Amino acid sequence: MTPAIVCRGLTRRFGAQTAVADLDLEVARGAVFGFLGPNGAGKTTTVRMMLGLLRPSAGRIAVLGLDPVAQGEELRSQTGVLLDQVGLYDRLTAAQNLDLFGRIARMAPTARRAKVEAALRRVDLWDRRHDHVSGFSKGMRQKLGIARALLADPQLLILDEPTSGLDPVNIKMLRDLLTSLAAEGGRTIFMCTHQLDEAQRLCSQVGIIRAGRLVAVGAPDDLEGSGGAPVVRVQCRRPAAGQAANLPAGAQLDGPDGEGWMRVTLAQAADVEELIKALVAADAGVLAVVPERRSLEDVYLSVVEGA
Amino acid sequence: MAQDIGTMLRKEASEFLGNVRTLRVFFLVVLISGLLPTLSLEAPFHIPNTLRGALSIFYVVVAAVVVVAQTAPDLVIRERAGHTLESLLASRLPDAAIFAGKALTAALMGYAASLLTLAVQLMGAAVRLHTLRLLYLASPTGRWLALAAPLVIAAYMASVGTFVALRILDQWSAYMITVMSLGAIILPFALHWISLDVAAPWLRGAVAVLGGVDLILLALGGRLFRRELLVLFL
Repeated sequence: MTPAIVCRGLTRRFGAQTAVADLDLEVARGAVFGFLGPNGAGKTTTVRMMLGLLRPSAGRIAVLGLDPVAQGEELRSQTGVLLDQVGLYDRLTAAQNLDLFGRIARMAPTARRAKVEAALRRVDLWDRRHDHVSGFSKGMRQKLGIARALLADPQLLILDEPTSGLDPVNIKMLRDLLTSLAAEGGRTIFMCTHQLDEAQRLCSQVGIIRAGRLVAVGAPDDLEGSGGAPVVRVQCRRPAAGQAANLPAGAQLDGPDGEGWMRVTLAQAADVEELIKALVAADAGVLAVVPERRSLEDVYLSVVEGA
Repeated sequence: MAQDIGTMLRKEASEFLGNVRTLRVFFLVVLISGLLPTLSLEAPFHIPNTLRGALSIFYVVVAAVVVVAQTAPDLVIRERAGHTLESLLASRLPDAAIFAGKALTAALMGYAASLLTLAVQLMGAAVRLHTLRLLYLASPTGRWLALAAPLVIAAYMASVGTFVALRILDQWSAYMITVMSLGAIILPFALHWISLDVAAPWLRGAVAVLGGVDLILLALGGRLFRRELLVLFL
């Protein structure tokens, strides 16, 4: 089966400025992909190229096996989108907004009514179906935006900052909704977000983009365990002896804390064995050695800030 | 394509009818254009019937012009301001349907304004003259001018106005360019390249030519419509 999204050398320039540079990316069908990066990193430009709203300056892109520029209409009919600005018609009611997009999707009247009802019920807005959107809170708008994206039961769901600007209650509500969508499977979800815990919880794969370049990609667990200097935490009965031990070259020891835990940053992962030997030789009374996993936030900050 | 244009027309119409400010301008234009000629029926000075007829027709056309000049840019710029344009662009709607839906809505609203203006003029004449008959409607020339000219002029301005509004951000500029596009119709007459004839056959020909130009502009607008250009302006 072809991947849902394939980018090869994807580049987009605006005059002298390069928004997306030489992006290579592959998102498997059915995956929940988190696209992470700071503001202005190129996330929205990439999404716009995926939807055929912008032409790439160089490289190629295929979404659901289709060329977004040449086969844009076919592609967009199979894609549900929630953009960073939800873009709902304020003078229409919730039901009318969805009905409009059902008509655009060329649904038959009976099917359209059923789909609108199902989508509104799914996001708990059925009771508000006759209310004008102008009176909706930001959270309700986001939910209605997701209902609109789901209306035609798309193969690919593109969500650009779905929880941006929401209060904690609405963030939780929307995350629960996204969690249930992700758990359903069968549908590819491509989600741009700043929320690392959201990406960690929902995504099977994440990519981090910085200044238009993809700087890290992989499963959240793999990313957490990769990159940066390896760190181990060591608990010793006699920490002072540990501090005096002949540590491997390039190792840096911090601590100990009150319980005898020390944090050792190694030059390479293979140095762990040498470290333990050195501590044993120094009679430090090693009680525990625990590799310290970097959180997704650590990985994100290290690649985005170059830390 | 027809189904998509129908969907767009329906959406634009409900948006138009749901906008109090737009409706206020629409009915104000209709009332002013409809009542002014009626008031001239009892002017203290003598106005020849031919001039009175010409003035009445002028107001019918003006109603269409003002409504289209306001509606065509407004339909685009309001969507841009409300961030709904990108949602529309991210949908499966073909480019031509988006353009045609907006242009046709503006044209139809303009034509509706001219027909309502005509109705107000007729009612005014009935009240003042105790007859529903307006002098200019008695002649084939008058009927062509009152019924067909506003339609082709509205369609022409709607195509230009929508095209312009899709490419520039400022509503006032879009409005002015749309109004000034009338100059392209007036210019050949002002420069005496074409001499104006008020005979019905000539008018039929002129309406057919402008109608043809409208169709070309509409097709051209749909063809030159680029999602990318709009996205860059968002």
